[in-house]
Amino acid sequence: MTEYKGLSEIELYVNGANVSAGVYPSETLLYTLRDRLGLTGAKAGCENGDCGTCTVLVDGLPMKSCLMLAVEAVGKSITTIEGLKDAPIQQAFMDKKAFQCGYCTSGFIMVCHSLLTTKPDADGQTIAEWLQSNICRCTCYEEIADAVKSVLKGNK
Amino acid sequence: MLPFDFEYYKPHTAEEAAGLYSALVKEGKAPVYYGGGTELITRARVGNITFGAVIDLKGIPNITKVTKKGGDIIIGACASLADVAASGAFPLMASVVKRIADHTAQYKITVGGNVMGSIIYKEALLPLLLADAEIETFGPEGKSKKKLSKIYDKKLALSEGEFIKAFILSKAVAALAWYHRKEVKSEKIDYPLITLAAVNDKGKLKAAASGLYPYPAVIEEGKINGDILSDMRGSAEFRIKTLDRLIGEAKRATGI
Repeated sequence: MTEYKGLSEIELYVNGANVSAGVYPSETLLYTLRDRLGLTGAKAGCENGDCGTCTVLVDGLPMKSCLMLAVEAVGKSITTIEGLKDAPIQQAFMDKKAFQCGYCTSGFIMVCHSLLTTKPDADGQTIAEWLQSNICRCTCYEEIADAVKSVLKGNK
Repeated sequence: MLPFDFEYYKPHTAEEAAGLYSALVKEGKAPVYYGGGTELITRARVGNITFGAVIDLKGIPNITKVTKKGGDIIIGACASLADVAASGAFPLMASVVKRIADHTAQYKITVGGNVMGSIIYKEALLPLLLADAEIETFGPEGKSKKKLSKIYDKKLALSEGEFIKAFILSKAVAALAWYHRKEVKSEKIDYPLITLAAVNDKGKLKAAASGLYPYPAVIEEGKINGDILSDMRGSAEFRIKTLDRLIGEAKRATGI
């Protein structure tokens, strides 16, 4: 049985490297990434699982890091926006002007990147379903969808 | 960071989980079982719930999987909504769970968590009610299997320390003609005004709804009790009219 009590040393696999951190079981993955590991790309928004600005990838799939305990992430592959390193969707966001204030952008990019890698033939309905997980208060939704479509296989 | 500290345990067997629960209760640790954890985390953050230990059930073999065995479909209680949808094992259930919360959250929310949570809608329960699924539980008394209809009356009657390990239903039920519709007040991602799930059961419509009462329920046509919800999402009258419309649609869609 795995168990953690109080401040415990855990090893996480983040952006292709093993990193150690002292964490409490009560820490969300979002807190650990930002405050223990200095990876501030994932933003704290609602911290209630609604806005998606804290989205990272866990084993390649989007995850709201405010809804996951850091200790749950042991043994999984975590990717934050710092780990993307000029992914095509990042350039597409710039080309399509898919942001204004930028606070939601890293979360949106992580969702879009996962969509593009797991479903490179996604249709419009699938794109809409995935993007509904995130909120942009500047309302750049059309531009974000355009950015995704521009990177999709065959530029549908 | 949640506002209080707790211990985290991830047992590797159901027996270990149940034994641990009893031991932690004796130590006064106020344990809770933990599946996806979305509701526990969000409630804990705002001080709505406290606990001294979480027992993460996801380490129990097969509890996160959807499998087929003989004529049965076995849905592990910690299978994520996304995994249930992707399995294709129970198309009605796939349709229902794909409208719970949002796409990203569906990778974290589990079927067991949705069914056992405090949010009143528990839409994942609707197809399971229609299938009269068997529920495999584990607790201090050991393993048990019960028909959902025997232990569900507005809420699931589980004993202290008992947790759901799996939902088991017949492949034949999953193959029935089905209908699902979720009506919401405005946003697509929202709690339901009415969610209706229905199947054509030997020429008769068998239906279950969330949003009509403060609990999911099997709906018998013409029989509505006095518990009808009436709130900012919709008045009782509007909910009844919406239900009637959806039942009509369900009949047409399922060939009745």
